[in-house]
Amino acid sequence: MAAPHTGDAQGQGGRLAPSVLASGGASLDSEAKKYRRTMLRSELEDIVGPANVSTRLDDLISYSVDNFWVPRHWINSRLWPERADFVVHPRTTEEVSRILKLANIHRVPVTTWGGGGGSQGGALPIYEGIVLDTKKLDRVIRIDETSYTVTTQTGIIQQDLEWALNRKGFSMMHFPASMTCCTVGGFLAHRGSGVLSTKYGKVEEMILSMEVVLPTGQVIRTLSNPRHAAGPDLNQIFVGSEGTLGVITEATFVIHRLPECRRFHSFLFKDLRQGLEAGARIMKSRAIPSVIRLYDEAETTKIVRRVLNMERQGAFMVVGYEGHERIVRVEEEIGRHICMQLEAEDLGPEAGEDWWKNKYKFYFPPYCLDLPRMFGTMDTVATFEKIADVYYGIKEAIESQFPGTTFIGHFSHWYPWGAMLYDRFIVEHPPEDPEEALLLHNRIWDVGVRAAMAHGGIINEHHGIGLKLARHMRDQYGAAFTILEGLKRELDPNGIMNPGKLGLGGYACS
Amino acid sequence: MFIEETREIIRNCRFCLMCRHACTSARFTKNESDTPRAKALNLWTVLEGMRSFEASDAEVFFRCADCHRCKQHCISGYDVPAMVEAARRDLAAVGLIPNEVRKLRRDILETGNPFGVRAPIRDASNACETLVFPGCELSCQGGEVMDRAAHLMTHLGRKFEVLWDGCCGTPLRSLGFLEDARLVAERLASRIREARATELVVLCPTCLIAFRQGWVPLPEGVRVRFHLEVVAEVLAQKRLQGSRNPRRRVLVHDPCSTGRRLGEYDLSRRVLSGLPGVEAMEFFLSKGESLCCGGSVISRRVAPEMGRHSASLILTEAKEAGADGIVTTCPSCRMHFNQQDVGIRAYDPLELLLD
Repeated sequence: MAAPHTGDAQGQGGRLAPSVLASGGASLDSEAKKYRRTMLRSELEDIVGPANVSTRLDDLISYSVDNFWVPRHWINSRLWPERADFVVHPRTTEEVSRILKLANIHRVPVTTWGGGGGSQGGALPIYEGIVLDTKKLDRVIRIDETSYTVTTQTGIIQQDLEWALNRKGFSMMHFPASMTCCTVGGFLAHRGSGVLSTKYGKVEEMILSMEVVLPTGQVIRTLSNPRHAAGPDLNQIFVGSEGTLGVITEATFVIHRLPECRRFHSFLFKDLRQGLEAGARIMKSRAIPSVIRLYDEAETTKIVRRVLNMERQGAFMVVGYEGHERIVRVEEEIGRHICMQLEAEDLGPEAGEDWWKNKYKFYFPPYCLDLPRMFGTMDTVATFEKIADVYYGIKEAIESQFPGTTFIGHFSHWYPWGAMLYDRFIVEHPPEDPEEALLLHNRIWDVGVRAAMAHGGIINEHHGIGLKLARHMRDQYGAAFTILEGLKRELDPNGIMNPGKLGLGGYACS
Repeated sequence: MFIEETREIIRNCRFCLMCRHACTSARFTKNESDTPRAKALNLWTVLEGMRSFEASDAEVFFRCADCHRCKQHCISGYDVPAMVEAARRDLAAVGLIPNEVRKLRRDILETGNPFGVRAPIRDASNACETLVFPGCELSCQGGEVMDRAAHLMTHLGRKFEVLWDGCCGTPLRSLGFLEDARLVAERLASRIREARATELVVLCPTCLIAFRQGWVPLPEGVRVRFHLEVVAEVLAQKRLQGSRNPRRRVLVHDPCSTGRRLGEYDLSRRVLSGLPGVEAMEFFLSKGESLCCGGSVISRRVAPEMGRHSASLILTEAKEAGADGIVTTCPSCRMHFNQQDVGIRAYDPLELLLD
């Protein structure tokens, strides 16, 4: 990320990062630069109308900070993160297409912004240029009550889509913590997951088809459903592409009838290993719960006690089931039997129901992690064979190399073959100097990520890569990364789309 | 700066995105800067001396619908509306005031109401048992409701007078003009004192807040009541029969003032349940979650497009539900819905009571 700037009275601190608008291959004098900027603005206004192009300072600030710790830390330290030159609000796919064509002509970076709730810096306009806010693309196009699908524009806030479905007795069953702030496009771009993913899958399993504006401005549609044998599923090229391969403008998803019943239970295991074994057995039994949420000993003590007011030691697990009453009863019985075999204490439904009721509470201040602390969510996925080693490997690496750093985790998304570790580090008193703090932040991440990879884990499961982990993509993928680089080169020959994210390096790449 | 007093709110909200979906103005503009998070973030940069206020900040902060949905949704209850009010005070102090806000202020100060209507001052200084206070909306354009209010008071045998003019000061306070607000509130208080009533029946929930919060200093011993409290009481005592309405299906709208600010959701439902022929239905989002109609006297002047858009969402739902009307306990919401003229009428519960 470009170095931050010290603020001045009007927030117009000198810019250090190379802007395509400014550089254009060589240094331009300020009049020429101003001319190019004004011409680009005029052309953008011609596409979306003057009211939908902004260069206002408050707007540029608003779009310069997402949920990534680094820009938050900078602003907190009175430093400016990099800002875009323009914020544009297209209302149609056609407008998105024209904006991208224009950006290619001017060789201007385009960063797509949905809700700005990402924790990896994926929506930050670090090379300035254009921020393309998708939130005016917010129409629910069709709810197909025969096939149980919904087609929607992708700038809609997930909560609004869920409400639209609920009105007709349906649900998307996608409940991320960012439910009320993320857009559909945002969670598609980051391979998002919700708290009921164990039963209903992640977004890549919910998607049927999509409309995408490629970086060149060409509009394409994937096939109407992915269960074909007509070559690879093109949806999966764009799901998780973090705005580097185009702008997803429409999507069709699977939806579900609201369940007849939804229930939760809670158990306390004597330690984490017992809990992990129970979770694995439940998943392998194929009596699939809607959720399994298993907290390590540290998180059970520190967070569950504080928020749920429970004074217990051990590893706390919430298990939920939902659907038809008769089926749920059988699934509950199987799940409970497995937990009891592993000597769990049945805490009854109350604590589980309480967790469901308070599931988003952990993300509101003051319950969430916030400055001045330094923190990060590593979010690692691995098979059952390796998941415990991944957890203990990262914990040992971080706690031994960074004394005083707290490591906590819970396992919240489960598969028949493995699970996701939502692991977090917390530094209570990070260095005050922003550069030193950033260096420490990066070192902790490097150690954690390498420990995860060494033990067979993948970084990460649903937060994405963004800026934060871009430098690890090559190591993680090995030779296979050339496929992603090739896709980027072919689809985005001028490297305009979200440069620097996902390890697809913007100018270096182009 | 006044925003210093809300530093804790700003600090906690500047990175929190959890109430984005709730914000009426952000839902309308789709612009990040209108979200409570971005409002707090931008205020943080001002508070920390990183920049000064600009005209665009004024546009954003004065556009806020003051609906309190953000505060309602916040598990921690951070008072974002108080933060917005403080920002408006600071913006006003440095002269960054949108033109419509300027005109609105002038209208209230010159005419005693936000509509700029020079209503003749009608004397309500006769000593009376009950003083009925309609508030600016019903005073200027609420003939039908006021007829029914008078009818109700007569039916109950109350010796009453109606105080037709006077502003409780809430719009001025919300816009950050605290001194002006105090001035008009004191003017109103003195007229109430002159009437020497022991009971003040208020028809506007926004004014009711002003009385209950003590912003309008009342003489001791004056009992302040919302008109629907009186209605609910007499219905319960069977001193009043429900009207002989033709069968009507109405949707219950929870105004920001009566609902999120006063926490009163039950009263209108109780009254409606006592009216034969009236079937009360619920909006998909109701009570604390109810949508703001964008019809406050401020929004209608400062952000009229937002107001129309917000009302259309509610009216569309009412039409799709096959409702015959909307019942609301706020005169501003009622007026705003009816001004949209889309074939669905909004009623004060009084209008159904004595149809």
